Formats: sequence, C-alpha cells, structure tokens
Amino acid sequence: MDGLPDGAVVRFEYEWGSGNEDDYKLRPCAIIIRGNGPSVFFFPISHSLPDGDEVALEIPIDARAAAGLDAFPQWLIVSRCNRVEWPGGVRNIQGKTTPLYGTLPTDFVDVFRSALAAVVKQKLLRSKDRLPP
Amino acid sequence: MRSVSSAEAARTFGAIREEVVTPGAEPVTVTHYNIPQVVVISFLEYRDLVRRSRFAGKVADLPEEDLAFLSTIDRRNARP
Repeated sequence: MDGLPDGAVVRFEYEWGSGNEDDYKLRPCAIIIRGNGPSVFFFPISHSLPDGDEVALEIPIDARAAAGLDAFPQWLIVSRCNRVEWPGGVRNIQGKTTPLYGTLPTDFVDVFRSALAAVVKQKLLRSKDRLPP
Repeated sequence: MRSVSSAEAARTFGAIREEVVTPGAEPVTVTHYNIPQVVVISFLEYRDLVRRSRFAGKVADLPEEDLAFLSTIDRRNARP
C-alpha cells in the first residue's frame, strides 16, 4: 500500500453505484480499511449533506485540515464504498505527482470504524431475521 | 491487438478514435521507440474493465465475506 496509513485521503475515481454511465467522479476518498490481500475499501467524501437513508459523519474542521481538504463542511459517507485492488482507481492530484491529500486523525478514524461496524452489524442482524426458523 | 507508433497515432488519431469506438473493435496499442506505452480503448470498454474489478455501492450490499471482515473493524486499532 506504499506506506499509506488507514485514514489516508487520496484522489480516487469513485463510482457511486447507481449504474448510470456518468456515475464516476474523481473525488477525495478516504482509505479507511485495508482488506484481506490487496483489497482496499474507499469511502467517499462529499460537500453535500447525504440523503436521509445514508449514514455519514461530518468531518470536523481540524480533521479536514489534517486531511488536506478545504474548509467547507464535508461528510465522510459510511454506508457506501468502493472495494478495489490497490491501486486501481487512485489518481494523482492535478499538477502533483501524488494522490495523497493528507490523513484523517486517528481518533476520527476510530469513530468512523465504529460507525461502519454498526452499519455492517445492522445488516447482518437484518439478514439473520430473514432466515427461516 | 493493432499497434501503432506514437508518431502515427498523432497523425491519425481521428481514425484510431473511430476504430476503437466501433462495437467489438480491438484496442489499439501505441508504442514509443517500439515499447508499448498506451492502449486506446473506448470509454464504454474502459468502464466495463473498471466495473469488472470492483465493488461499488452500499456497504450493506457487500458480499458476506466482506461484511464478516468489516463487522469487527471497530475492534482493530487504526493506529500504526
């Protein structure tokens, strides 16, 4: 992973998952979790307040600064992700030779991990409820 | 796969573009000093390639093995 820590914010060709052809956008995304093997999970960062059914964390201003983001309010979406094999979809920042904007503080990354685990556990519980007795 | 030099690609890019967007057409490789450096493919083929190798969507729709991995992510320390 070229030494990038969990919480690194990189420029990434993110696909929202709507199935539309124009679904791709180069945007800052946080690498929060490295999966098994070369798999990496990317979570999108957005200036827009997420829809009602999305789970997201507002990124505090100090965390935005540490991550190299602008000062406007931004959210890290918990309930959507792209999983790719590193470094697929990672692109250099325009005019630079690195994709790295900065790194989110570890305390914020911990909060994100808890929120993500909660989303996953909720899904697993719902799946269990649907199993036949 | 058809291969052209970078000089030829610069001269005939319009024709190469039309060639690669034809359904079922092969990509075109562009060489520089005989070394393959660039592949020209259609936008749609590029999207297919990217989509084939990634998951994109809601976390809740991830395959079970990913959900199992992520369900314990809060117990793993983010600190190096």
